[in-house]
Amino acid sequence: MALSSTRVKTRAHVGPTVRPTVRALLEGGLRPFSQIVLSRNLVTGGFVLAALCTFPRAAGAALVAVAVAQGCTLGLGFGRNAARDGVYASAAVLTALAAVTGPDGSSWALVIAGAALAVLFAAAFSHLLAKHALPALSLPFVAAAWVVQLTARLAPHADGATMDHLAVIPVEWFGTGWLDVPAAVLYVHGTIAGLLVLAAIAWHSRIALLLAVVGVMGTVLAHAGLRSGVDIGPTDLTAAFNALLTAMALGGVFFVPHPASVLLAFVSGALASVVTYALFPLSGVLSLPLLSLPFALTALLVMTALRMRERDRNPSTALLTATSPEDALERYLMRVRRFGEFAWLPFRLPFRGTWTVTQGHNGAHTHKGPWRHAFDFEILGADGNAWEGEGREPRDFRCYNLPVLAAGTGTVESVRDGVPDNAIGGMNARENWGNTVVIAHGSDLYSVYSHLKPGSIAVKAGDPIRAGAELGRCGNSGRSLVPHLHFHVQRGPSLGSETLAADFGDVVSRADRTVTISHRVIPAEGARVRPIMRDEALAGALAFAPGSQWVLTDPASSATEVARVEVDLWGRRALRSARGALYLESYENALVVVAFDGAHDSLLRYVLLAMARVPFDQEGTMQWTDRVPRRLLFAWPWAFLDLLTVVAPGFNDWEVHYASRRSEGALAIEGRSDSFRTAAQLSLAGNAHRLSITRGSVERVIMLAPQDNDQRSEVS
Amino acid sequence: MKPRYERPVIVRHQVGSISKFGSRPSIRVYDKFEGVPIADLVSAYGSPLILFSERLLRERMRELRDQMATRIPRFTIGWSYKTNYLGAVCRVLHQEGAWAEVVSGLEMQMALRLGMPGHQILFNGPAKTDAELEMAFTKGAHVQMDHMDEVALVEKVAERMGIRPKVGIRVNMTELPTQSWDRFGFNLENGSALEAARRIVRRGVLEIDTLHIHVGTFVQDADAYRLAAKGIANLAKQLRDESNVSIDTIDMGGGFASRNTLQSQYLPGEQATPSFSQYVEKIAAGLDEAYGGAEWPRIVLETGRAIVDDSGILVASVVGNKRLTDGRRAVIIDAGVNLLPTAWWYRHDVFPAQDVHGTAEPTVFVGPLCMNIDVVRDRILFPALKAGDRVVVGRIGAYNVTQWMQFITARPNVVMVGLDGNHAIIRRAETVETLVQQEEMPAWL
Repeated sequence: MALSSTRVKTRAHVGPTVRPTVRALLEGGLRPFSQIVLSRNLVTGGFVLAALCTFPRAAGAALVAVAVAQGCTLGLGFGRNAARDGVYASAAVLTALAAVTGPDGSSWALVIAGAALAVLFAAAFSHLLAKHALPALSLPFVAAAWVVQLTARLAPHADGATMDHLAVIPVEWFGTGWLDVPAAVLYVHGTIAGLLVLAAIAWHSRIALLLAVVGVMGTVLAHAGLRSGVDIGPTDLTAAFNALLTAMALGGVFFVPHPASVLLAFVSGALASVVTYALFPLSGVLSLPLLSLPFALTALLVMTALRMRERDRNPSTALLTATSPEDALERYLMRVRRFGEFAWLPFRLPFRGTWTVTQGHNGAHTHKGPWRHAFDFEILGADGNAWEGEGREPRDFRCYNLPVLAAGTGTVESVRDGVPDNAIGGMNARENWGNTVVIAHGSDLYSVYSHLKPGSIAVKAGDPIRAGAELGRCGNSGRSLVPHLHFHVQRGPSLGSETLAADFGDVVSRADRTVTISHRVIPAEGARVRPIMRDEALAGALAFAPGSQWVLTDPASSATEVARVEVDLWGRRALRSARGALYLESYENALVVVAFDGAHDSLLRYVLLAMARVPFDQEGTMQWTDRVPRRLLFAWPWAFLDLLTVVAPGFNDWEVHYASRRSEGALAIEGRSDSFRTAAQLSLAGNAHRLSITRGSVERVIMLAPQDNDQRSEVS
Repeated sequence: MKPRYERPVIVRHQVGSISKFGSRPSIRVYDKFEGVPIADLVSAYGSPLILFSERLLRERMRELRDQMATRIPRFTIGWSYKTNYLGAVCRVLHQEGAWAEVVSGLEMQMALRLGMPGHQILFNGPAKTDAELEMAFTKGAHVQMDHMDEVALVEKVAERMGIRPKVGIRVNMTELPTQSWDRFGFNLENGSALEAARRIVRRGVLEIDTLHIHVGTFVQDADAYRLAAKGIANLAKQLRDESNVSIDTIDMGGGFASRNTLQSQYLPGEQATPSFSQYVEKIAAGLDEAYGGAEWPRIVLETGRAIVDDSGILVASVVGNKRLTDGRRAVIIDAGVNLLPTAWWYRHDVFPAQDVHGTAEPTVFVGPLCMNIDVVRDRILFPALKAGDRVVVGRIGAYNVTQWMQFITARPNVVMVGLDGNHAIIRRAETVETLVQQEEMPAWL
């Protein structure tokens, strides 16, 4: 993926001593440039710098600004990460560019002062806006540039600014062509500069390039609507490059790429243009150029407003940790397709052991209309009967008096007790729900457990409750002919509220000879389901404790990779080597390999393919389905097909069917997909795990072994 | 078709039989095992023949596990090696998630040889040697101690190895509705269990994290498990309160009855034996009485017999018939108590393996041994058999293939029938070579 240019082709276990410094310098030097086009890619930064080199004075000023800004960033103690990230320095670069290419001309002193000021503004705006989970965008740069411009007027040669000059870009630059629009992002002009900026964007992301074009089309629309007949001038150029930035930011960075996000990019491009036209006279009054202020205002406006939507969909808000629109899209698709679309965490089944859904959603008896999203659970024996012995009394029923557990963490909202159990076949329609516990799970989400045994309820209203804690015992009170547990999720706290579709997490279901585990599922009527029976040994073997070191070896090529489990700032656990990072989520019920980032030759990628998910269950044999990104097995030409994914999700992943089989001290997992097979032999005895990937007739074997302490010392 | 000849039989009229129609047993013909004709298996592997069903092994294990999962939050099932330590049987159960519960160094080696990691081996038994303990700790096995001299030995081994292992102590209770089982472990009621635990805590060489109780064997009163669970849980609480000892695991042992019928039993085992759900319900009830809503320790169960007994059968061939002086018919078959020591405890079910005709009469099945006590089934109503006919003895999976004896005959093939009707030998028949290869001839003879 990104950052390919800085890969050093050495064996990963060779001490990384020199490389980090080189890499830090490259990042600190080039990221300020790539950040201008909303990228972190170093090659993109190189293209941007090359575009500036068409104007040596601009390039010189920009480089001085980077040096000053990075010095300030480190000197003021904002930290190495801020310097390597390049956001602060990027504001300084733009400030310098606006200063040297602006109408007033500028001295080097102003460039230096402006760069330092931009860093201050960037830090301050980031701090203020971060509280609202908003980015500072171009606001720090605009603020710093205005200060510089106002200061520049104190210079003796400054003349009165005209309207046209307020566009920063002199009018005579304009008119050479469409390629001035991308060049204007850097406050320069020309075909070569424009092409280089487009190349920078294209290298970073094809989706971003598409969005940039769509954004400028928004300006064309705004111009046709508002200023048709008026000659195209500097105002339109300002509108166009603001639209370009707005479209790239909203369509691909802050929202997940999608046909809807492309439409949003077009509309917000038009909106940014309208904002530009609207503010232009105002900037004349203040005698200050608009720069990329319309971009920042429009993007923040749209982002903030769209947060009020009922459902975060089409386009969905992107995770800010993505490195490009393609990356954001892949992560989003993998998340939705692997982990489901529900907004809340899945519930756990509200009992222990295997129960059968005897009435599911839209059931034949009582789960109808507003109460259709409900479950009735009973236990059926091998004979298909819910009872043992005579079946004439509630206690003959297998589920009677078994613990009923909280399906999620929350607070007990209300408790109803004291309704007697019915005789078998009896019914108490007056107290429909019988003995019932209602639990509140945050806003507007309540779970309901009904027909409990009288006197068995062990909680009271207001009690905080953990998922899996016992609430009471299964009974036969209320509208219940035979002992069973009624469970549903609803919007309101009162009994009889409309029910909601709710799913359960990590459900093991048995049908005939196969046992299937589903990460999230709404079990159908007749399904025999149970929660995970946790296997401590397996959970222990795959704990990937932070700080532990693992050695990956390919016995065929004897390539070796040493990886260490680290937890980053966002709390994500990653198995990280010099060549890549494998993001892991090891929770109570399973190990999930969430994503892989890194070099194409990193052995870590095979871990994701071979064990995308490992449920910690005691079952002897079971199966499950997961999805892995196609990118893991294809080289870069594939990247240019990413655009297709915007309209055809599912294009970028493979469905893999995994089947596990337990043996003495080991768990074997075999995976099958359209184009490859995997096999993992996971050791519960603390030995090496053996992973293999077979495509066609070629098998690749990887050994994944925990590294001992004594070996660790010679690596570090 | 020519009518089949039926031998005339004189059956004595019995007064006071349970129904006015007399006893008319319905004879079930057992001609297939897991869908495979028994005649085919015998012609492939010989007679006598011991057969195990992979399906029944897995199903019983899953049934127990499902019952545990219904009521016990954290649990482990240990496979009791002494019940049946044939590698293939152990492997099936390990594949279903069972740990290994061993009671000797030999059994521990068997588990390790199969590939069980040490931390999934529970090492019980009243006689562990210094070397066996050292191996157990090296492999990370869980050692559960039986008596004070063993505590001293374990402490010595731990000190020598420079480790502070987590160990368990075995506890027995006399106030249970079972026969006394107090030769194992430390008694609860007279305070010796508490005293042993206190002594181990005072010495500080070992860390107690497990209490182990074993109610008995073939326990038919499930309530014994409630009393035992409550008793041992209360001991765990007492240790926590007075010595800050955290008991992470309570090992409830085994002893669940199988569906066989004891010699002394009136009702057949199929009716008298509690189900897994009844046993587990009692364990849960005992823990609930002791702990209530507080967190329960992990529960270990080491049930052997109830899992494996149903999954094995013995196929034997009729050698001859004779009439005893008391009028009963005796049928000599080619397998006796050498292969079926459980015949001394159980009234094993015996079935014909081919169609039978004629009136059933009281029959004694005797084995091939030149011993008066070689009786496989003392009295069962059975139709006439002729030499070469086959009979099936049901529910022989537990203890027989570990307690069988090599006496004047060699042990036969043991075969497992798989889920798809596939079958293979899991233990080869012994030959004279097997027997004499262990022998040495002193040079002076």
